[in-house]
Amino acid sequence: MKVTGASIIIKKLLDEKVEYIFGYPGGSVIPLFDELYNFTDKIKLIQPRHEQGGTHAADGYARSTGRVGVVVVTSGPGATNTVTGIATAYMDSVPLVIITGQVPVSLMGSDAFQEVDTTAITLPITKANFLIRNIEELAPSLDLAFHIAKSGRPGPVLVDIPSDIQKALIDEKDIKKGDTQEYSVRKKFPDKEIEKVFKMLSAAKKPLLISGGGVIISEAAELLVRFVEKNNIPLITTLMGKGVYPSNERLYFDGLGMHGTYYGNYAVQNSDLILALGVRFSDRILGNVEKFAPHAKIVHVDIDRSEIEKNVPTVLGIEGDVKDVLLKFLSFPELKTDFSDWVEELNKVKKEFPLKYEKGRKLKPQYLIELANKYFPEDTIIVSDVGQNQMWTAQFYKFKRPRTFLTTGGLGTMGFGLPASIGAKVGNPDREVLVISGDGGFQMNIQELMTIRRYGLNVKILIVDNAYLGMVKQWQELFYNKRFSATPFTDNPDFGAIAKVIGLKSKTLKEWDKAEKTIKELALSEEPMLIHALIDPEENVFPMVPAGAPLNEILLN
Amino acid sequence: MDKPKKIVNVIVHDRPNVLVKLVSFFEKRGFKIENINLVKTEKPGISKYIIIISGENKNIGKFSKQLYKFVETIDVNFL
Ligand SMILES: Cc1ncc(C[n+]2csc(CCOP(=O)(O)OP(=O)(O)O)c2C)c(N)n1
Repeated sequence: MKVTGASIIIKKLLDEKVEYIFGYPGGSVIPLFDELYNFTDKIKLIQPRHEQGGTHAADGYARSTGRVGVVVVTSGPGATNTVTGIATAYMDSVPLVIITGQVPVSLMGSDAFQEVDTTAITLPITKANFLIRNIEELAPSLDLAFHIAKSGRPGPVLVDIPSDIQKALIDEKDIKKGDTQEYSVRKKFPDKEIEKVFKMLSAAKKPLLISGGGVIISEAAELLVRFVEKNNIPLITTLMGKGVYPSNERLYFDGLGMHGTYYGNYAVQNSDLILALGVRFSDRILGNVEKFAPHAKIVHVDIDRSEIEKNVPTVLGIEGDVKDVLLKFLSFPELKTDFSDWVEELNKVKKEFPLKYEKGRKLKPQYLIELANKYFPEDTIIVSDVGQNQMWTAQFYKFKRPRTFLTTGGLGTMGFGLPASIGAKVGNPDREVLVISGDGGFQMNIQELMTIRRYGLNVKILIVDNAYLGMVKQWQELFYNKRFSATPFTDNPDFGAIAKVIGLKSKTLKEWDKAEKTIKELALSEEPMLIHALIDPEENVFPMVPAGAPLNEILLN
Repeated sequence: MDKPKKIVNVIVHDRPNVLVKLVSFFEKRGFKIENINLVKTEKPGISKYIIIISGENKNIGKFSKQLYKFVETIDVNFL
């Protein structure tokens, strides 16, 4: 029997148990959407108002569920609109499969209507991409696409499919499978390396564990917590690693880097042995590389061999899945060495230099985040946007479970928050989803409020409006003589009114005294709701390590 | 004076655009490509790129490891 290219695509989605696609139609994907029309009971379409929004939504779905997010868009502008979303996912190792339409094979290279070289554009921001030139290649390429997206270090994979191939016919018996084995070679790390780590640990006085996004991705949070508790080792997390949380708070020292905590950075700068699991040592956590962790030997565990020794020198690099490595760690008996003096020292620093802000007068974003932490359930998925709002959220919300903090760490994409929250809610209909956004970023994908309404998604929205592009303004204030070039946003609209016009509940919040009641109402609301909070425009994010400075040269206010 | 030259051998799954990835990999890190050769290996679908690069950067050993970031990369060595 003969089948079409479009039906091969849908069959692959069904085989992969894809329940939702984030899609937007156009000339070159009409055949695919037509086929999808036969399967609306099995594969539900979530249609954004803009393909960038759709891509971030698929990303939010993937980050919150651990499953592959699927995007379908048309050629040309449809494809280019996904670029920011793909790059965002690539930087944070999020598994996506993006299916783009393309002009018919016969027209390729002729500057046809809505033709762009999609695979060339996305080459550096995908793990792999495929341009399908004949129907025989379609099924095997889709197999590889899904396999590559989710295996090893996950990431986005794009498949560009000309419209005539979606309509082309192939005999079912001629459909081949992709050789996924080819891309599955993984080295087994030798046990000797783990023994070395234990030798170093027994000799250490001030060990520190830095947990990154890789620990969340590999579902190893629980193992990691067990390991640090068993051996009394202090723990800090990177931005992407938030959600790994010990039950013994005395072992946890929040974050490190530019907007980490004073005590987190203190731990790094004073440690004598760092175990870094699933982190990529970005410049935002390193500060001055030469002066990073000056007393520490660094052991780096990562599934991606290219990360080891990339940004910091290590005494030992272990290439492997952190989950496998942690299982091995846990098979060792408890360490004899006692680290309680070190834990004590860090807790003293933590007490002396806590995160803080002024209370009781002007409306402060940190207070709103603490209130959200108080009134939203522990399994709430918090989505941030980019800028000060992101850093306040990271600092003041207590993330206690993996996959509860969705944030764009690597690319820092303004406009990520609102659409990503849509994907998170689609993937987790029974959990609360709260997006915390700045006023600038919110306006970058504000059209997705319509998507929330169309699908009746109970997403909670908190806009912390400081009438500035706050994070840039903060740099201008500190390093550019308060010359606020291009950062005032005093003409922001009334976001509550916009929400109401769209048909969503909303409230405006101005005063400290009303904050608690309003955030409580937001948490308890049974329908989507937006809070437009007019916060103190002068509030900045502290502590702060200026770019390129060592982590101990930290500004406290 | 001639700039120091290095030879990098990269064994890859031969997929479209691997060459583009390799070229931009070295250029982004400040190397100049002097010569590039594609050799088929005895295994179908697997090729070897022999790349001669020049540049001041002494960290070529460190960089060549980063070639493993590409899903196509099977093996890297440099002389
Ligand atoms: C798409 C995009 N454009 C520009 C930037 C640069 N940028 C980083 S933070 C920031 C300010 C964000 O302002 P706002 O959304 O109001 O959040 P706030 O920092 O005030 O919380 C800007 C412009 C970016 N990260 N992303």
